[in-house]
Amino acid sequence: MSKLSLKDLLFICFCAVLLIAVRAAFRWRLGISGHAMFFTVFFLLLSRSCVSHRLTATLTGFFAGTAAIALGMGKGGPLTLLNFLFPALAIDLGAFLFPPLLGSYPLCALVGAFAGASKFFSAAAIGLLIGMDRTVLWQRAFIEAGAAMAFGCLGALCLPPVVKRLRAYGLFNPSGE
Amino acid sequence: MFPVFAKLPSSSADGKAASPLLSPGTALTLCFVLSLAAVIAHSASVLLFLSLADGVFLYLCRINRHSLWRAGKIFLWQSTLVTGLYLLRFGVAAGLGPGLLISWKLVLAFTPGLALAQGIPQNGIEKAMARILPQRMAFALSMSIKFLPLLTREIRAVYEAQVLRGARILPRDLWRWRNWSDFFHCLIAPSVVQAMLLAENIAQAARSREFGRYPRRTIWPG
Repeated sequence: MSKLSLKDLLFICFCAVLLIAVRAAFRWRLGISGHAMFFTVFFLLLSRSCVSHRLTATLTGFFAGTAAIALGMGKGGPLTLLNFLFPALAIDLGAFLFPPLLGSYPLCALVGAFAGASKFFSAAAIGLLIGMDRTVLWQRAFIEAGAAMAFGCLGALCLPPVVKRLRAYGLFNPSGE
Repeated sequence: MFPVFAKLPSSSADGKAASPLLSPGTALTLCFVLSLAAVIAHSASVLLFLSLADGVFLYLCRINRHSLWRAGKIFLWQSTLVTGLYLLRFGVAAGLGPGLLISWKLVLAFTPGLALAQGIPQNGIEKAMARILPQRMAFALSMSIKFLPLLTREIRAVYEAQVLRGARILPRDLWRWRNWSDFFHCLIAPSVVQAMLLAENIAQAARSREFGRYPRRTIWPG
């Protein structure tokens, strides 16, 4: 956090706010369960690819969750943060484990699906906290995570062409650090 | 022509005609406490008390019927799903009660967030957030929200220029997968560059005003 310049911090915030804006625009028009993960994964990966810091995606997720609460997007109140933080942590972990992630289609798809699967954990965490029956909890979490994985995978697959173009502009740091 | 995708909920939108009876900071705190209480509560009597508290909170936030109905539809879907799964698992006799109880808890956990979202003006929530977050983060987040319309206008300009150049990025073109490469190359990548440029400009303007030089001296918001 201390190593981030104000410019990088502002860019991360722009990614977070654009993510919220796009989710707001498509929330009512599509009405498909889990489709928000498409935009979430894309913007989290985009910020991770443009700002070289280990916790870029996590910060973006945190800002997106905070902005969602501040802008009245989060109907879950403080619990809204979990919907952004879990995929963000999954992406940062993926970028840490697979350094060439951001330019590779298979790795992006893998990490996107992994980030989508994190919906399972946020749904399960909320279920566990409120004391839901375990079997019902897992079933509900699987229902919510299944579509999120597919959309997360699609969202992640949109990143490599953008990274390719940014690399051509000289704006992409392949080291990731 | 340009798809409207950056339309954020406005403070003058439906459900916010009457001014709330709570300050944003108090509303934010109450929202957090009520949501947390609903999550950790297990007895029906506590849930009943929380239901009354949520009702008072909704009244103090001045939520209108239209907003309540819109949220009620979402809650109905969630409750139907959860209760249905309980009925499938335990049958009607053993599953109906626990299923409804859990659905009730979910509704109570999400209702304060709804009241905060629909009833409290955005600028008030932003100021309350600025008291919670570190100053630098609050500045960056608030600036990005304030400059979002400008960034949207710049993206729109890029979009229209690329359409005039013949890029296949109109909504009807995007139904074909082969045109998506145009969308990424002609719109998304230049938009990212625009966002970086805007971030650089804002950072430079802040630096020229000595923002962040003295942690205790730079006052924001003024």
